[in-house]
Amino acid sequence: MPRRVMGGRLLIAAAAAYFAGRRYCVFTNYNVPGTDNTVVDVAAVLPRLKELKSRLKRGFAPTGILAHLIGSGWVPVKEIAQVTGYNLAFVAKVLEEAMGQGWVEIDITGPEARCRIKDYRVPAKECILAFSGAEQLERKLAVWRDLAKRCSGAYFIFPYGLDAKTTDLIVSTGAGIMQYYEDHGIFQEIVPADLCDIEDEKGFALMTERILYDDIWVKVGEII
Amino acid sequence: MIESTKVIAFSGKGGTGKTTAATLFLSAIVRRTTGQDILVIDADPDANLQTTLGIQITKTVGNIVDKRKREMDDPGLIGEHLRFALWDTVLHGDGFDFLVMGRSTGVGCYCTVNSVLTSLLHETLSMYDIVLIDFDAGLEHFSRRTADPAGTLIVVCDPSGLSFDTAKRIKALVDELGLPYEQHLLVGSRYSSAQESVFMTLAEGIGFGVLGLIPFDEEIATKNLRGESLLSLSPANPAQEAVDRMVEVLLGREG
Repeated sequence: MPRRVMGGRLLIAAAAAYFAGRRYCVFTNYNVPGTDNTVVDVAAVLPRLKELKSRLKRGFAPTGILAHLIGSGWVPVKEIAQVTGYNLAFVAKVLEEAMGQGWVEIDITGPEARCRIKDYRVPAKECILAFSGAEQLERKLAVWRDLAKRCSGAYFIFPYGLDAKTTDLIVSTGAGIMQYYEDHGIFQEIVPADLCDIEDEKGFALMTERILYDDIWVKVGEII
Repeated sequence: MIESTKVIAFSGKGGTGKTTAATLFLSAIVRRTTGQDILVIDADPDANLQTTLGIQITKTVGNIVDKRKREMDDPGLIGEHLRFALWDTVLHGDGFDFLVMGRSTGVGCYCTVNSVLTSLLHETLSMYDIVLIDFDAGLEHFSRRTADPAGTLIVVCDPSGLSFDTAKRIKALVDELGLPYEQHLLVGSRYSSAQESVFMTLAEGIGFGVLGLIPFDEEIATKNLRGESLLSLSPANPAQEAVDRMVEVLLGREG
């Protein structure tokens, strides 16, 4: 009887557990903020303690709006509304709250209100994406290429060995390859990922803040 | 492959200058790196790194473990979860964070709290780019395997044969227990140039690689006597310069 090939869902769950066990904060089937419903199988984020503590004290940064201010200096409030697609009243309200939490400065002395981000640092050291390579590989490779500048690296995970052509295709994108042995619960690193510095700081902020926010709520439920 | 924290641990016989060395290494690393998160851990129960770093501590990990244990034993007490209490214990200095382990003093079984604490400490370490740990003089933390993180172990020896005996015992214990240090190196502390060749011979005799020598320094001795921070030393101070060169080698070698 031919051996059953494990499904993507199980592979994703196993990959999430693998990264969580290495102290990453993990989100599966992650709909990446700031994209047109791009979903990654696993996003694993390694936080920075000082930034996490700061967010526990003053609240997490409303990155959907604040990300557009990173590295941009003073930005007119109207421009943020245009870029994000939110209505102006909503943007103004979020910015007012963010000012109260110390995330932004708002200047209303000129002809139009403008704001700039203050003391912002992305609360993560790195962000690794992991994809189950067993299904829709071409589409997932395209997703990885789109997100590469806002992440540290990526792994494609398979429950079986790969041929040379597929291996080359994946490695040419800078991603690594891991093989998962279901019976033994082992991830074997076939090709290490090419880990890079983050180029897109705004994208990195959008990618990581939400994951860390959700992760804190899980940790609040601990009993000890 | 994906875990990127560099750990540098300091050990050696008591009084050899571990804490001074750790402080000079920290100073060199802070000046050399930008945008990196650095954590310094004082794992010596007789904690005095706070003095050489010029940081006033208000609580230690031992304190919060005692507190959490009391809260768990008494259902009437509600307190902060250990994770968040541990995070609160981390102090933020100028270019680095600082955590003092201290020790718990209560009675009863601490197994549950301690096993959670061990996991939380490892998790906390992973949130930093570089971690420096100043261990106490004894060998107990090696045998209890609390000195487990991979990275570089620096054993500090002063100009005394006894400090080399301790270094030899540390190396034997690390080898015997298979502790996962990538490298263990010897650093000489308070040496004159005339003693250098003796140091090298003794280091070779116990099978250690040598990272370098920190010369005896009047200014450091005076600051230590007065209980002043060593972070205010000029980079031109000869001892600091010697450590700067070692850090260049170490981080170059590791990174």
